[in-house]
Amino acid sequence: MDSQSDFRTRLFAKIAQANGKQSLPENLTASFQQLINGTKGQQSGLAPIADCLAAFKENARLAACELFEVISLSEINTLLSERMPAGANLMVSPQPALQPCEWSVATTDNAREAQWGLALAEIAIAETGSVCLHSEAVATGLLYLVETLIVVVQQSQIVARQEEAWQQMHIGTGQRPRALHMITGPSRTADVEQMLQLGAHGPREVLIFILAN
Amino acid sequence: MKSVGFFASCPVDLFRPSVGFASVELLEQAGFTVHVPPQSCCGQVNFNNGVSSQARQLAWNLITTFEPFDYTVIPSGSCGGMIKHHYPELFQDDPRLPRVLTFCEKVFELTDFLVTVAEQDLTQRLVFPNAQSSATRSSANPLSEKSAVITYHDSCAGLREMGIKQQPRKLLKACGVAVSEMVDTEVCCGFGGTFCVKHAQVSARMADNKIDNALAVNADLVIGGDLSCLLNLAGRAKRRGANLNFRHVAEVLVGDWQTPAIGEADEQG
Amino acid sequence: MSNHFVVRTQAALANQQLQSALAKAGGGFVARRQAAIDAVDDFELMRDQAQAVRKKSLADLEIYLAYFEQQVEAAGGRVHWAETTEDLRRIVIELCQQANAKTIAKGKSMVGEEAHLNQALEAAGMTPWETDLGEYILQLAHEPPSHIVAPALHKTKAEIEQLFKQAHTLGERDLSAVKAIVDEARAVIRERFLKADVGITGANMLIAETGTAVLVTNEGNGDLSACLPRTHIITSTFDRVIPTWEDASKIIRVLARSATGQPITSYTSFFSGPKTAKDHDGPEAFHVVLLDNRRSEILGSDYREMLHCIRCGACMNHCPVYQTVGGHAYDSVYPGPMGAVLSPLLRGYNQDYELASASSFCGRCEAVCPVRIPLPKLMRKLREQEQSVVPPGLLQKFALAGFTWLANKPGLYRRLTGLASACLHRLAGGRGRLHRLPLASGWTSVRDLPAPQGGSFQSQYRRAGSAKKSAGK
Repeated sequence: MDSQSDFRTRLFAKIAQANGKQSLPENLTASFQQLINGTKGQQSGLAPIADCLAAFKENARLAACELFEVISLSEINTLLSERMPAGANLMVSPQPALQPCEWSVATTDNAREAQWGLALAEIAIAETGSVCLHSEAVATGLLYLVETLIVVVQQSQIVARQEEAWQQMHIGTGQRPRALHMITGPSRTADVEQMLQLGAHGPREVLIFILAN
Repeated sequence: MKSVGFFASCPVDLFRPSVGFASVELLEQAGFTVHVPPQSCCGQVNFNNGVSSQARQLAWNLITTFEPFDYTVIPSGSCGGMIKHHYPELFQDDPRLPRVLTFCEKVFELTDFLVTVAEQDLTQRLVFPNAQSSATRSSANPLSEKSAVITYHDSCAGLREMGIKQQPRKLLKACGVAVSEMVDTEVCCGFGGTFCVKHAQVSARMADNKIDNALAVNADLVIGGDLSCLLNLAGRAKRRGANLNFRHVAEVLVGDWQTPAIGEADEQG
Repeated sequence: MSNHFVVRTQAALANQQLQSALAKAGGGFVARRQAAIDAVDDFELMRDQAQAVRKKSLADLEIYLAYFEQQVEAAGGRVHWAETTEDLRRIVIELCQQANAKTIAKGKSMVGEEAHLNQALEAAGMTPWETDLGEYILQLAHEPPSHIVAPALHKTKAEIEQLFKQAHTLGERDLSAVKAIVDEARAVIRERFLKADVGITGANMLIAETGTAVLVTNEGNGDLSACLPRTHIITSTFDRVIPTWEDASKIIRVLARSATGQPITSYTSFFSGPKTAKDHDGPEAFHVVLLDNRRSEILGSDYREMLHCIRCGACMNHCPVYQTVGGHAYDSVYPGPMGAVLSPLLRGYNQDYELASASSFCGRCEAVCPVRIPLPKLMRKLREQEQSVVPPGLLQKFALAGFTWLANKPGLYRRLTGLASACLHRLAGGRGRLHRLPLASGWTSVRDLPAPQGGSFQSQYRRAGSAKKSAGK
């Protein structure tokens, strides 16, 4: 890999020179921190969103999500009983907040055998109707291999814009989940004559249950 | 009275002087003294083909010729854009830049000038001759009838470099001309300078799309603010045998229906 | 000297299936983008912010890039450096061999296309499976992409139906509905994520502060390819690095709106290193392969702004030339306006300079570019540069020089052009137009030439002026 490290050195020199500098700084971390000092922690700079709940619901609907407002998790059972087809399995994410609830349908902890998935969002973003879930809390398969994905959103966890979400999750150097998924509606494609088709490889449906405070 | 240096632009100068005369009349009606100093090309074709040095030569000639006037007005968004938008770019490393910038501030496309600087109120002048003025009515010209469907093509440079969109429509409305908008008015007609010659087939297809859009609104007449676009479209339309006429907005505003439309045969008798 | 682009466009214009596909695609992208922009009050501000992020990211790129590398490696990932596309192919193959990869799940990667990665993997005895629907269609058809966001845009539904029927042995079935085609792709491709040893994806952005690759998709295949296989390889370029997550949000806001007219795509995912003990799942090995391929030259050149591109495809969606001939006519994985600038800069093929001339400079590309790249200006610069690389035809050179010489002599210009106008008018014989004219076949091959009115404006105005004077007005 000598030629690679050789190229790496030349590349950095070229980039620095193109930017009117001699070389990389002595203290990389300090220089980096100084550069981001002004913007880290800043808000979006866009118009404020007065009613985050309303905006979240509106935008999630526009992204083809189905929305429900509930007071307790057990209310979800009604929908599960009505809509889950016979023989289908539900995979519930092992997140603590979801555990106390008794589920009225068949469950599995193998994403490859689940047709429905249920998880709790870390945070939800009003400006696009998006929910954020990450790898420390949820398995990838639950989010992407199921036919129908149910996401529970605590009303208090809805923020206006992305920047607030990153700040609330304390995202920064050394502090981030290994995989964070910002999901907005079901999977889709328009690769066939630009005609939109919901349900590509990921879930065909996304149902969002907003849990009142 | 303020002075206007009128720069005709190559297409007008070479192919359709009636646009020049119409423009001069409009400017004089608006209360300006119009001068037509010796002029040639703004240098756009050199600039767009990567020979900036030649473009700069032509640009400097133009600037020094026209800077004595209060305004320089051009019946073209394309040449207007070249001068106002690109001359500063051409001279950005040149010590003459300040003089260039001062000049460019006084450069205007015709319809924009009439609306924003001259604030011309043309309501008194009707495009379609009224019953009393039989001398100006040409019964042989079906377009003098108010039922003619008229549509407008926005030239790319006019739109994107000179901000020409509402101005011609405002003037036409004031003259009693209703514009039936076609789809994709803002899509290129396929002229693009040497592009229309180097890529003739693609250019022709683009012109065809524009012509089809005009026909789709049953247009009889297509008006535009750039003669180069109109020459391209008229030429293609005639080759196709499409039943469509083309005129420059200046001619329509001044009520010139005598002059045959672009590419049309001279009137007999 | 024949122009290769012209030859390809003639084929494209005559290709009925292509024209049908383009007609279906055309207005949709434009209308959807406009609707997305109309739905927000502050799109111009979003554009300003995105442009500022791209600009500042390049201005201190050496620091952000070094920090990015540090963060990836601190998390247990590896960053690899590829000077050329050949280096990239070699590095990726080595990584796949180290992982004992037989099957590879591929998410869409423009850099992978740029480096012709699939062919190299196949030649090395491995099986890359495209999982993005558009790329999968192209893999079946053995064709390159024609658009950077919708790679199979040139394919009609009927053609896709045919390809599926030939490739999948699933018996008699009705694939005439889009849903049926997509459902079949879902079923066929599902196994690939579950079985693949390695997942290779691209990245839309690389975030320095946390060593993160950002993946912006709609289908879900990218995420599955990134998370399920034991090894995740990201093929990207060094100029994609931006400082923070807040900066990423600025670009995310304009990307999907400009590309597909969505406020955001279904999946915007952030991957930072291999699986840790805290995670439910994830790859054991996390590799980021960064390609140069002359971008370091571009950075120090007058074309630097081209590196601001966020690969949204809005420029080609609005380009009247692209909409007429499609992406294959450009003979590059980067077509349309951004490709007309980027392709010659990356490949250094003399032929690519033709692309800069294949533009009417209508300016629509620049008007819709979310980060305001001055594409016509860059194309013009390439036209200037082309003179020293590909000498212009003698006819053009002398015609232009001759015309300029004349134009610098106003008196002579007026007299000669006045004469020419009068002659052409007479040549048209009152018909108002000419079908043919020597030396003007470029024009008259497809159009009539409207005849001059007889005498130039300047010559007529002068005469009218002297007539006024002599009439004592």
